[in-house]
This record gives sequence, structure tokens and C-alpha cells, in this order.
Amino acid sequence: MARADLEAIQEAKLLDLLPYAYERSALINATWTEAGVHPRDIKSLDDFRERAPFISKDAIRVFRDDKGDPYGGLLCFDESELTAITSTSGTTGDPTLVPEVWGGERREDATPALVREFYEIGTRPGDYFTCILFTFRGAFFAMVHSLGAVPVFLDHHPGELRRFVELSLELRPTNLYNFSNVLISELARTCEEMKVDPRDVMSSYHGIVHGGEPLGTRSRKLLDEWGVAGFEHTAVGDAGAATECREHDGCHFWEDSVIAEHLDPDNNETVADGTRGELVVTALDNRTMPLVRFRSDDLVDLTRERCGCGRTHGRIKTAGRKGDEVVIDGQSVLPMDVWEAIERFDETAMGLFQIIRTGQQMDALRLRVGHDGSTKQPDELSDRLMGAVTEATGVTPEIELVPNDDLLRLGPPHKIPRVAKR
Amino acid sequence: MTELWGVGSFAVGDRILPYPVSKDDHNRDIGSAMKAVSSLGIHEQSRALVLSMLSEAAQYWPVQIGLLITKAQFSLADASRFDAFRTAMFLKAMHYDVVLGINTDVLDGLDDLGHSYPDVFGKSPVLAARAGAYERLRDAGLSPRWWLHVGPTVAVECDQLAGAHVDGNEWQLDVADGEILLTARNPRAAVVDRLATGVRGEIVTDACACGREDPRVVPRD
Repeated sequence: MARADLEAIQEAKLLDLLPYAYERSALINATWTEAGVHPRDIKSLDDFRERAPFISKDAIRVFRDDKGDPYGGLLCFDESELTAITSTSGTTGDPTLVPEVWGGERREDATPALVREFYEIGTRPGDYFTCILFTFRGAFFAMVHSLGAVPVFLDHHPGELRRFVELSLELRPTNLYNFSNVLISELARTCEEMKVDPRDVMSSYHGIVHGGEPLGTRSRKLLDEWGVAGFEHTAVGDAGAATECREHDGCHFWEDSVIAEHLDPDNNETVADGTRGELVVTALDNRTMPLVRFRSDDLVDLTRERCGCGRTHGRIKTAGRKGDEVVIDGQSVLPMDVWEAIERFDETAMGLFQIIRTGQQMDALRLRVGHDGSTKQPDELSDRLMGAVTEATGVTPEIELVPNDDLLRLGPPHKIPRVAKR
Repeated sequence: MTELWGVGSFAVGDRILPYPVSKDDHNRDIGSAMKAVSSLGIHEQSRALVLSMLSEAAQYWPVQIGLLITKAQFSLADASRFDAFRTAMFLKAMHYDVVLGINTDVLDGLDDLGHSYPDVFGKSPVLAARAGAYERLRDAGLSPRWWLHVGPTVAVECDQLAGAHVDGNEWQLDVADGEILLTARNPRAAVVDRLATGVRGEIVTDACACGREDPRVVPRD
């Protein structure tokens, strides 16, 4: 679709959404009133970018705490009209409540993003589809059903991988949602223990969707060895999801359902295409709890250049969270910057680590790193890690080694908090 | 070939067995779930917290559809040690009339977090607990009801506290050497014929004072 047509869809949906959200969302109403802006002032996408005020996680938390409103002033329905109240993962703090209104067996406000991605990866009617996830985000598998595929349900836990191997060999599913670095690393070990060839296990999969955290270098290498493509999947600032296409050059977000801006965090100016900025999102299809110009705190590289797959929808590559950055002697370090250095060693291959962050400006880079317990020389392992992290970041870290299980306990197991206060 | 809805699982002791479910099975399981929802006293505007794992979708998705049809609200948390914080979070944030599917993993997770069971669950009038968790909640001074996994189905205790009901239209219960055996009354995608469930107990076939005529399992401690 031509960009102009896409933006026409965005503009029409936006102009319909704004008065609705202004009338029904207490936080948006208060924010716009304070800024002296009314939805009738917004007649185009340009007006919106120029005049609409922002909302942020902090503003939602403050509203929640001050008003005793668990939805932070965003809910556009009476609570009694809700079907379900689910929640975000809560990896970086308290889970955020997600109110839902369903029609039949699926959410009315669910975007078709994942259906499109699953089809792109090759899911077709009658296929088995491995769903290896949690329950707390609700029935995403309704999207699998909508493609005519048959879900195979597994828990997202290393203890399920033997069953994953057995069911993959028996049923030969074609797609998988959702793998993580932890599961990929443990699958290699499980196949070894079961004396099966992981290439055979994965041979029926057209691809696997990987989410929760970025697909690590080591995980990608394992998937390459197994002959299966990994498709990274990430959130679009709580307003939707973005997934890689066959080009594997950034995660596409669907611009008919979300307006994504990327701004200089310091002056709110739009930064150049292809460069890094803070992701700011507006959810165009969510009438239950719409986010309007929501500052996600995520730092992304964003481009709207036409992709090799032919899509004109934009792409993002997530660099990290603004609140995760530490600066040591003027050198910025984000979790992504140390990831590959940690997972390159066998003892720390699961890539489990945390940056100890007491503030943005730090006098030293302190890392807590999980290891598998196989080393008999922890000091030597620390030295190797120090060398690798120094090479990757230009900053020599202090390393605290802990057993992997200590960090996995901070789960859910597909991701752990990458920053800790102590 | 029967059109499949999905492939779930169920446990017999320590063994986890695959459990294919057809669309017909799934639709009938929603009917069974409606009975279970009713037995727990859930009605329009009730709010329920459902604790389950995705591998249990064949058992728990019909329950969620039952809640949807009843027009009760629900929230979801994993029935895992990792996710116990979410159970505590929901129960602190709002009132739930029913918490169902409580298992020992969630209780272990609450132990890890230093929460007492009465503090977490004490405000919810109906606590429907699986084997192992039932006893621990009872020992903590709470009054749970049975939410008993019997092979691929779930038996649910009503307010008469006289055993856990199984949907008799779908399942036949027998007992051999004190172990409950389960047989599907209707054709299903999975063959369930005198399945040794690992559940020890007795079967009561008299009509319950709650009005249900479905058979009940009275578990043996």
C-alpha cells in the first residue's frame, strides 16, 4: 500500500478516536485540558504531531495512585462492561492491568497483526501450530484458529522441552509462537540428552517467532545450525506488536493500527528516518483503553523505507529502554550492548545478566551474571567476561557471578528484568 | 476425520499425556464448564481469577468461555511458581468472588514471596483448589472446595461440600482398588476408556442437595 493511502487510513481512524478518547478517558481528558488542546483543534496528522500532548507511564502511575483507579484513567468503559482483566508481564515492575472486551471467543479490540505474521511465516489451514507461552495475556491462540490451524499447547518452561521434541516429531507443526533465548539454549541440551537431532525436530517449522527479549547472537546461530528461521517479535510500546519479515531487517509494525513516532527524548523533535529515538505510540483500534501519544520509554531505530519484502509499513529495531541506560565516564551502556559478550561463553550461554543501576550516571558498570555451575574457576570466568564486556562497551565492568536459577527465578522464564536497583 | 480444536494435555500422576480435542469435544466441554461455573456460585457480574497453564488449555479455555457466557468477569494468571506474584497482585488490586485452579506451584511461589495464604486468599469467598493445594489451604485455616483434575476432566465441588461433581453426560466414573477410572460416554478425539486417573477416592451417585444429579468424587486424603 502506498504511504499516502496508509496515512489516509491513519488520519481517518485518528480523527474518529480522539473525541472518543477525550470524552471517555479521564487521563487523556485531563492531559489535553491541561495542555489547552481539544480534539476539534486536530484536523490532520500534522496537527496531531504538532499539538497533541503526551502521556507517559509515570503519568498513568500517578493517576492510578492519586485517584485509586487501577487503570490509570485510561479505561473508556464502565468496569462492569469488561469481559476480562488481564495484565502485562510485569518484568520491569508491577504488571499493568489490561482490560478487555470480547466478542465471542476473542477480544473485539485485538489487532490482526499476529494473524498476518503467522500467515507470512507460512501457516495454512490444517497445519499444527505450536503455542508455547503463558496464559496471562489471554487467548492469543484464537488467531491461530482464525487461520484454520490447530494449536498444540505447551507451557513456556524448560521442563516442557521433552514434550516439545516429542510432539514436534509426531505432529510436525509448521509454526511456533513463542520461543525465547532460554528455551533455545535449553532445547540444544534437551536434544543432546534425548539423543535426537535438533535439525529433525525443527524440520517441519517454516519459522519460529521469538519474543520477550531480543534474539541473541548465540540463539540465532543455533537456529541457523538447525535450519530454521527465527522471526523476532517485539511490542510496539504497549500499542501492538511488531515482527520481522523474511528480510530479517527490523520488526514491521502495522501502521493501519498504530501511529508510531520516534522522537528525540530531550527535545521531542522527530529524529531522522533510520536513526535512534524514543518510540511514541497511538493505538488506533483499541477502544477499551486507548493510548494516545504514549511515551513508551523504548529507544528504537525506526525506518519507513520500503522493505525488501515489499511492505511499506515501518520497521523498528529495539535498542533498549530509556530507563535502562547507564552512563559511566560519559559512555552510554544499555543491556543490548553487553548481551553478546555474556552469552559467548559456554558457562554463561543462557545470556542471563542484570545491570545494577542506582541511577543513570554511575561510577562503575556493575553486572550480575548467571552461570550454569560448570566452572571450577569462577575468577577465571569473571576475567573472561570482563575482557569481553570491556571490548564490547569500552567500559571495564565489575562482575558478580550467581547461579542461573537465581536469575530465572525472577522470570517469567522467557525474560528477566535486565536492570536491578541492587 | 474429526476436525481438531487443539492438542492439550492432562496429567496422570507424574505423567503428562497429550490430549487431542475435536471441535465437537470442545463445544460439549463448554457445556460441562457451564455446570462447573454454576456449581461455584458464579453468576453475572461475578469476578473470577483463573489459575492455569497453557498446556491445560483444553480444560481451562472452556471454563473461560463458560465465564464469558455467564457474563462474569475473569482474570488470568499462570498456575506456576514463577507467576505467583501475579495471583497476589490481582487479589490485592480487586475483589474476586472465586479463585479457581489453585495448585501447589502457586502456593510454593507465595511461600517464596513470604505471603501467607489467608492474607492473599482470605477475601475471596470461594477458593477452588487442586489436590495438594486443597490440603495446604485447609491447614492454613481457609475453607477451600475441590477443583479436582480427574484425567482430562475437572471435578468441581459445590457449596454442599459433599464431593466434586463430574459432568455425567460426558464421563462415566468407576473405581478399582480405590482408584477412580474415567470413561468418555461420547466419541472424542482422544480415546478415554477406563483410564486409571491416579485419583484415589470414592464415587457418590446420589443426587446432590445442590440439585445436580452428576456423580461426585470424594477424594481420599
